[in-house]
Parts: sequence; structure tokens; C-alpha cells
Amino acid sequence: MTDEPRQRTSLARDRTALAAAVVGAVLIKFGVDDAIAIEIVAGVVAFAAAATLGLVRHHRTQPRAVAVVAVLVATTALLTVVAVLS
Amino acid sequence: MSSTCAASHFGVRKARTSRRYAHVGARLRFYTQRVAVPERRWWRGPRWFTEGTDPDYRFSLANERTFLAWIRTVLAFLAASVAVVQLASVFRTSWTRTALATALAISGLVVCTLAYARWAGNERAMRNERPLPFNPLLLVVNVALAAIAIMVLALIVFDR
Repeated sequence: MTDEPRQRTSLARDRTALAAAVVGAVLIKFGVDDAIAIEIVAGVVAFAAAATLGLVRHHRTQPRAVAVVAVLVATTALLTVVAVLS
Repeated sequence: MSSTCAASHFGVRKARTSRRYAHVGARLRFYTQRVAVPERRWWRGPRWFTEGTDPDYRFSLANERTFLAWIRTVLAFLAASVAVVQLASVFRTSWTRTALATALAISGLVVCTLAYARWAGNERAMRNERPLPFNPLLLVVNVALAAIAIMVLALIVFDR
């Protein structure tokens, strides 16, 4: 792993997972809905782990992982809207 | 002598004729041959991911990093939304907090959707060696944040 773009991307994935964990903690702390928090933390952290491991073997972006993250975060945003309005 | 010439002449004409129509035979063979088409599996990624040629991997990874930065922006929107609902109790009217939090969460939803569209559009353009397409993401974020800022300002001035 001496390749700088790969390292940078790996760090960006980890940073995103960390941000997701922080948002999940905020959601749990303020009791919006445990399901939302669990979904966002589990989904995005799993993405970061899978993508980082996959990066060792593949130098290409993994389109499935990107789509999964987009769907998970969009679902979380939708659930947050519902939770705020209810 | 004359018969030899005629034969050779005939032979030449025949060769020319077969060359002239060679592409027809090749085309027929091309259209009638059995090609083993690999079965497309959904977990191998979208169909466009096999289009064109692989771009330089540094560009693909940079595109993914930009997508991840937008995802972090969405997470910040969601955290702000929850914080407004739970912490901002200084406003007199209760619906203003809900409106502000809803605006933030909806902004997050829109930005998340557009971020994926932007990533996919850029990736596809790079694969097909086309210029990067326009995406309204920056405009949407600017307008949404300006609207939210005006809302917050109005609440602070008039609703405390």
C-alpha cells in the first residue's frame, strides 16, 4: 500500500464511517429512533470495512459498495424526516 | 496461347469478384455466429460499468472520494436536523423547530441522491472518454443552505 491515491481513498472511507458512527451516536443519545442509528452505523461501517479490504485486491472503485452507501444514507435521511415529523 | 490468356483472365476476374464480395460473407458469418454472452449479475455492478475502457484508477478513486465527501455533508445535515429538534428550545413556536429540522433532513436526502447521480455520471463519462456532465448538486446545496440560513436568522430575530 504505497500508492497514495489508494491510501487517501481508504482514509476517506474510514473518515466517512467515523462520521456515520458519530451521527449514529447522536441519534441514539437523543433517542430519535434506535433503528435509524443502528442502520446507519452498521451499514456505513460495513461498507468501509468491505471497501478497504477490497482495495487491497482491486484498485478500481467498487460500484456496489458506492450504491449501498447511497441507499443506506438516503434511507436514513428519509427515516429522520419521518421521525422529526412524527 | 489465347486459351491460356483467357483462362488466366477468367481466373483473375473470379478472384476479383470473390474479393469484392468477401465482406458480405464476413458480415454474414459475423451476424450468424454464436457468441457466448456472459450472464449479467446484479452484484457485479451496474450495466454501464462494463462500457468503454477503464479510466486511470486515480481518477476513479478521486471521484469516489468526492462522493464520500458529499456523504459526510449529508451526515452533517442529519446531525444538525436532530440537534435542532432536541436542543433548540429557545424558539417560542414549536413548529419552527420542526420546520427547520425537516428542511435539514430533506436537504440531506436530496444531496445524497444527487451525490450518487453525480458519481455515476462522472464515472460513466470517464469510461466513455466524454466531458464530465453538469450536475445541479452545488446549486442545490447552495440554495438549500441559503434558505436554511435565512430561516435561522428569521427565527433568531423574530421568534425568541
